[in-house]
Amino acid sequence: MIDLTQFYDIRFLIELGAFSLFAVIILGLSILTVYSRNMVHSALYLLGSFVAVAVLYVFLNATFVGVAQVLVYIGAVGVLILFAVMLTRRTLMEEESHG
Amino acid sequence: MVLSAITEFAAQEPKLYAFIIGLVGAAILASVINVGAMAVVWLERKVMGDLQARYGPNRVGGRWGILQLGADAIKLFTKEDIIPRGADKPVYVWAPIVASATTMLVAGAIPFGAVIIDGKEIPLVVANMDISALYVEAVLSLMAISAFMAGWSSNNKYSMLGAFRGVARMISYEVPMGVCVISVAIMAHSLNLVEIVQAQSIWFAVAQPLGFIIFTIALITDLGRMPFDQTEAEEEIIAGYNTEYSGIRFGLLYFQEYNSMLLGAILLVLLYLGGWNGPVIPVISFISPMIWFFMKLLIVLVALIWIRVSLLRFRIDQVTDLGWKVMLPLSMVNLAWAVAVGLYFA
Repeated sequence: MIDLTQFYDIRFLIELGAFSLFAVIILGLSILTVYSRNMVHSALYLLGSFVAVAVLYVFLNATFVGVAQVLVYIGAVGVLILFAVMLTRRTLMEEESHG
Repeated sequence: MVLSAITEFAAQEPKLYAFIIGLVGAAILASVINVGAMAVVWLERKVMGDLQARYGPNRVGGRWGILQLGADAIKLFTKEDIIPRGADKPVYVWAPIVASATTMLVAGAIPFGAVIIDGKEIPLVVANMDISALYVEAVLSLMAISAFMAGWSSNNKYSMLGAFRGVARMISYEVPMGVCVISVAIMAHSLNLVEIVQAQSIWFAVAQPLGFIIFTIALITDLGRMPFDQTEAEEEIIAGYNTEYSGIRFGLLYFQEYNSMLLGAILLVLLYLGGWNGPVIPVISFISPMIWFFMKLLIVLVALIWIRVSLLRFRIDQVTDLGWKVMLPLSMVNLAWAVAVGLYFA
């Protein structure tokens, strides 16, 4: 059962609002990652959703996991993905982006 | 009196207190960091001028050209902002924003000195986390992304080359830098930057000189300063990843460089040079930690500028070779040394 009185608590509302905001950001960026026609854009959206997931970990009071998420998934995996995408041939996505 | 009221409120409402401190701190931080960066720009131009036997800025704002930095900022922010036709517009627009956001994120966890109130040392830091050293290290690795975004979206061969070099350089020096931070944390028995400073009864630069040298070199590389500024080598690739930028966007990228130089110098002081530790100066004991801190910071900044003026640029393959073949093994040696010495003196 949800205790309705807690909705009047300003601290709870702040936390709820912030959580919803980041949940929407994660969902939106993930969808954009899949549907984007440009590979580099996909990679950048993915990085953005990683950042939002790190924020979610911090919300759960797991600061270390959040920092590890930034260090491993954005600092290492994300940069590696960007590097790989940069090395792929531009012609695959030529008609979509750069004229 | 005010202090006791604040601590009482903090004890009663810890979450609200953290929220308010975060908001106020962010506002103060943004202004301090940007004014600090302007001061660093001015310092660099003046010191470089002296070292190269010329005057440097000496017209605007009196003999020392102090207002020159304000004039520069106004010039940059009022110039026409051109977005090239072939550019990938959203990425092009977001790159400077990501760049400045990264430096702000780093700044949030870095202590900017301390003040002594009632014999108690109060560090000036917005987010005093348990793992702030690791956090700073993690966020510093995001800088490669903004350089990549700027370089790739400009749709220019030179920008692309600059971004490519930047990413290659940063991923090869992230690792030794991280290992150095870990060595410091092992010796200090903490990942909290405030506690690392307080643990330095002898400076870590003395306790682990190898780590100090490696960290300094890796820091210069990360900041993209002179011996390692292949990202924007003027003679080879025009201006690297920010070739196509102009106006306020160029201003943001340019400021981000000097913001991170300031933050990097502060990090070096905190991790290896004893932070704000120093004998208490009797009459002005309130700000004596700040005085020590600024003296050390100034020395580090001038040393960085001096290195920039004196050394020549490496080739990009030499840089990555140095990173993987020399710095990484040596940083491992330093880690072993830190563990051994740390255990012996623990």
